[in-house]
Amino acid sequence: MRVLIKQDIKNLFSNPVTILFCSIYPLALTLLFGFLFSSQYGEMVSSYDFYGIAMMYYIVLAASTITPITFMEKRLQKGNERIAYAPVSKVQIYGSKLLATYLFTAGFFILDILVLQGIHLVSFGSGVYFWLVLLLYLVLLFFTISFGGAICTIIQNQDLTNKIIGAVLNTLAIFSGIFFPISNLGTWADSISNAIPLKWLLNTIFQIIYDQSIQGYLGIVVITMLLGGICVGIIHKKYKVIS
Amino acid sequence: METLLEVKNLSKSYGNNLAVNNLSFDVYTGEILGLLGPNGAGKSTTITILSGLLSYNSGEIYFLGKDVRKNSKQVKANLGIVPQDIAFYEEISAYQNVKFFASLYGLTGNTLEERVKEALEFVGLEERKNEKPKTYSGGMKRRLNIACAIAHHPKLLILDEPTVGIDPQSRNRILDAIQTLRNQGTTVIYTTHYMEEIEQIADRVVIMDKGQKIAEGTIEELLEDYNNINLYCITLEKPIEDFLYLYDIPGVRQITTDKVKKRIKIETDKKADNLNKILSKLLEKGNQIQDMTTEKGNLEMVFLDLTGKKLRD
Repeated sequence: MRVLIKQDIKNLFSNPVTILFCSIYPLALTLLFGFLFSSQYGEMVSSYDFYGIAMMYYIVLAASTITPITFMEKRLQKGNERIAYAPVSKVQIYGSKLLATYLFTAGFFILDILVLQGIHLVSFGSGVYFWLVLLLYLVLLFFTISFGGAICTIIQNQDLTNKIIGAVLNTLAIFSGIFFPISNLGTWADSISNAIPLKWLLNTIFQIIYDQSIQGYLGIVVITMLLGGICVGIIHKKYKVIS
Repeated sequence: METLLEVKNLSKSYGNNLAVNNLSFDVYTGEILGLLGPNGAGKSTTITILSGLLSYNSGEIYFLGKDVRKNSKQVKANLGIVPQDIAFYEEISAYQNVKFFASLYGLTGNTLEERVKEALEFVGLEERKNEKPKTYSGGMKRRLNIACAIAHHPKLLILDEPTVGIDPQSRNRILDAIQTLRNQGTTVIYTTHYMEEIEQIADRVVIMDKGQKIAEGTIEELLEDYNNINLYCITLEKPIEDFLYLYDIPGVRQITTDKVKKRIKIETDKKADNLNKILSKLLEKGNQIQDMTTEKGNLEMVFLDLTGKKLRD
């Protein structure tokens, strides 16, 4: 299993797009949106604070597009198929891919958060609340990685999976106000925004950081883990090493 | 001879299409078994089932007497698979590829290093081991495909059309390598639709068509009926309209022509010694002979006799 995980991580490191997506992209988005909307935020909570938290949240959600790359990127597909000839189980094969994707993305995301927090550009909370926020990001990442895997094992096509996930995610992200205050568009937009669970989760993160409130935290963690587990179950049922 | 693999009444269907139909054959330790058949004969499906990657509807497969369904992991550890398609990572070096795949079979440390070196030397890639396979020629990629399958010293090596689309030099190199492996004790199943390759390297042959075994035996056994036959291939200047008079010559068994009726194949009893009579008769009837060759019996003829079609139809 260790050999498989090592190779899957190496494969992720051989893809410049995934590296840029996980390392530079969250920082660049934070700087860009923070700068563009700087006039709309005060000093207590700066635009960099808001967009740092929101963009990390968006990137964690968008990490669901990394799993299809690990599972069935064209340049890796043939090598992945040969693994099936070896005396390793199906669980070891997809388990390694899930774990490798998780370790790869989580490593970069933790680094991004530490950098943003370390240079005092973004506050992800202080003391225990910082760790609770970090844990929530990591639990959510478990779900998004598993979700990406489940969708690609159902669709059996990396490009199509990522197009679908990308389109759905970006639409939901826009309407939940991750990129800009959606309420500016009117009350109808606000109503839609409030109905999207992505917004509830983002609000929970803000509540932990600024209100130091952990109301509903455990429930969110448990439900997210359960949903992630269901996705792993779908992968187990649908995963085919040889297409 | 010890039986390494037993396939009994194997059947596999995709919907209504029966890809493998009640197939039975044995593979003996230390032999090269050629699995010969046209495209769509069921060879690759059979190989994929033997590789443990495809379930089957009915039948039994035993590897060293053990049911492969119940001992999948143990069986896989003793198999080396060379699939029809190139199956390795193009972005890491040949050395890293062989090392990674060999390590999946539990090889570690010095043994792993030695086996990787040995496999790369064996296929002639040692000098270019640090290059990425994406820079390799088609033939080199095929050889690396083999190296990835042999580094763990499998008891049974299964090759599925490993010479498709490569130059004759690489093809010969691969065929030589397979014979060397057999001489070193590896048992080999070699599938192809090139009968020349089977004639060159196989100890025994299973001929398949439409998912079924239609013949099995050593090449000598399969060609036994053809040892007493001469096949004359005569090319004429103009199309021949009538050739039935040739059947009056003692020993003539069968006559076929090509579509334009300029090339005529005459199958005769060897003992009849009737070539002079055939040529005289053709000339006598006003035909002009352009060219003539004599063919020996081959597997193509066996296949044609059994199925009424050519291997590459």
